[in-house]
Order: sequence, then structure tokens, then C-alpha cells
Amino acid sequence: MNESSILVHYLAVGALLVGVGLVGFLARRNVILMFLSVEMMLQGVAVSLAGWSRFHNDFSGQIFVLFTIAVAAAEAAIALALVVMLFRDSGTLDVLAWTQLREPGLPAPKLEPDMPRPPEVSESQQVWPRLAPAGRKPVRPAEAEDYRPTV
Amino acid sequence: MGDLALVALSLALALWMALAFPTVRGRLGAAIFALVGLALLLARFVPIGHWGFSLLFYIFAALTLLAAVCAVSFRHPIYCAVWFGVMFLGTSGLLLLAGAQFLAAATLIVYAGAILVIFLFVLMLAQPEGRAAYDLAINRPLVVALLGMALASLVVGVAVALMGSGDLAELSAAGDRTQGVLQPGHVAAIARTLFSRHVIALEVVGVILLVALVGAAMIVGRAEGFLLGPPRQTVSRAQSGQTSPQVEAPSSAIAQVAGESAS
Repeated sequence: MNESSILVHYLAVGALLVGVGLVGFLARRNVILMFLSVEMMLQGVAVSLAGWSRFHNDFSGQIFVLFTIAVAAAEAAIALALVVMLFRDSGTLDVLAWTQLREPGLPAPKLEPDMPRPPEVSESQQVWPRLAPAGRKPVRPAEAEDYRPTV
Repeated sequence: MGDLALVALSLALALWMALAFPTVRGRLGAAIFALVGLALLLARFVPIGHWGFSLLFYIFAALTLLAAVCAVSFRHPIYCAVWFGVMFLGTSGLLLLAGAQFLAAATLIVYAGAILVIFLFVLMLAQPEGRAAYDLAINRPLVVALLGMALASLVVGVAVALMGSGDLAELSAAGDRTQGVLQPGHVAAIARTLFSRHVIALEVVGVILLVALVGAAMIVGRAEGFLLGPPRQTVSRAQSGQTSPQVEAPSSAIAQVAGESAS
């Protein structure tokens, strides 16, 4: 197998993952999705490091990824705590609810009225998940009632 | 170089269509642009030379990139989180192909098993109604897509140029493949390296995890009441008029969300 070609393939996938994660971080407004986009960028770096580890036939890249995963887990715990606190404070996951945390003297970021909106999708086109209707008591056979009289 | 700019442009257009037009037609256009861009990119690569490895690699890479774009562009946050899980699965397959068996298992357990599920919990607690207004609004999709894909194409261009220069081939031929990453006894070998050369770093990482756990508990646990009680300052902030006119839009969204959760 052509090892250097494999390395370039891995680097390409890693770079594209980092790019898509960056796009998600900059474009989305949900705090949790922004955080998951950062995790996607970390995954891109992990893929690149694993490719280098295979190319050089050395474990150091994989061990570096292992430490990265551990630090990412710690970071996830802290970020989750912060998200819960912010949600408790303002009742929303929208990142634009905290624009007043910026430095004094900076201009306010452009918000809703100035922002280019996506084309509105009508309610009939949009498909949202629906739960199955609940509350109907299931019909049980007589022997089952006999077997477990009270639940 | 112009070829690479074309790749970046078509990939950015694909991402822009996926982000800005959440309809079937928009996703179809995004798929067409993405296929054109990836075909242009693949034309520059030297083939791997082993058909089984190539097949598995391209399957996992396509799964990873498709799931990544879906995770970023879908409007419903629960769907996004599930696509993130699929992305972690594809990444785990790629790591397995690279000879990182332990890392593949660790990625599945830590990311798809722990982090993603906990974030799904918080997402469902915070937005029990599912959709929200701010999930429908995407922040400057065209500029952001151009930026991200330009960055990715730059890295890919450097890698391709590195391969074309011939330095990589010399390095690869110099390596001894009879022992190392791809040989049996992988987990034992990685544990030997981890507990001999990196043992202090391993202990430090353990302490970091413990400190993060205690810190998270302290951040969340200092308030009274339920874990996700009713929002306290929403009404006063919206009514007192302290906020600037630009901030009124999100605070009205807050009041709307609070009203919906109260009703």
C-alpha cells in the first residue's frame, strides 16, 4: 500500500472535519450545537494525528489523541455546567442572549433585524418529529391478567 | 492552485446551500456541489493501491463527512445531535483503519456513549418543545462556508504539495513495518508506551479529570431549587428596559420561551 497516499487521505478528511466544525461553530446559535461543533474540530485533529501515527509507525500520535480525549471529557463537564447555569439564568440556549457580556465600548453585534434570514419554510413543508399517541390502555389477554393480578 | 480554489468554492457552495435552504431541493443542490468538489479533490490524489482498504476508507470518510454536514445544517437540534453521533461512528471507523484500535473504542465510549448522551439530556431538558426560533436563523451562511472551506482547502493543498515534493515517500520507505502500530498486540504495546514514557502525564490527566468533575459540581450545585428551575431574571430584564434596542430581539425570544414553558 502507498503509505504517503494514505496519509494525505487522512489529512484531507481531518481538514474537512475541522472546516465543517468551524462553519458549525460560527453559523449556529444554539450553545450546545456550538459546543458539539468544537468537538467535531477535535475529531478532525484526532483523525489527522492517527494518520501521522500510522505513517511514522509510532505510537506518540495515538497517545496524544488519548490525552486529547481525556481533556475533552473534562472540558465537556465544565461546558455542560456552564450551559446549565446560563440556561437557568436566561431560560434560553440562544448564544445571542449573552451579548451584553462583551467588553465595554465595543459595538453591539448585528442581531435579528439586520441578519439575513433563511427563506421561511411553511408549516406544511416542515417535517417535525411526532410522538405516537399515548394514553390508551393496552388490551391484555386473560391469562396475563391471571398471571399477574396486580401491577 | 486554481484547481484547489475551485474545490474550495464548490465545497463552500455545497455547505452554503445545505445551511441556507433547509428543503429537499436545497439539499439536492448541496449534494451535487459536494460531489463535484470531492471529485475535483480526489483527482489530485494518488490512489491508495489496495482495493479493500480503499473501499473501507472511502465508506467511512463519506459517512463522516455526510454526517458532519447534516449535523451542522439540520434545523432540529435533536437531529443535529444524532448526526453528531453518526459522525463519531465514522471517525471511529477511520481510526480503526489507521491502526488505532484502542482509540476507536475510546472514541465510541467517551464521545458517542458519554458526552453526546449527556448533551442530549440537557438539550431535551432545556428545549422540551424541540424547535426554537434561534435554531432556524443561520448566521451569514455564505461567508462562514467560504471561510471554513478555504481553511480546509489550504490544509489539503499543503498536504498534496508535500506529497508531490517526494519527501514523504522517502520517509515512508525508511520506516520498518515489521513491528509497531499495525502489528498484533496493539493494546499491550500502547499501554507499555503509556505507562513508561508518559506515566506522569497520565497521572496529571487523571487529576485534571477529577478537578473538572469537582468544578462542574460546584458550578451547578451552588443554586437552590431544582436543577432546571423556572428562569428567574427573565421577566425583570425584559420589563425593566435596561437592555439596548439590539438586545431586545433575543430577550423577546426569551420571554416567548418562558411564556411557552409557563403555559
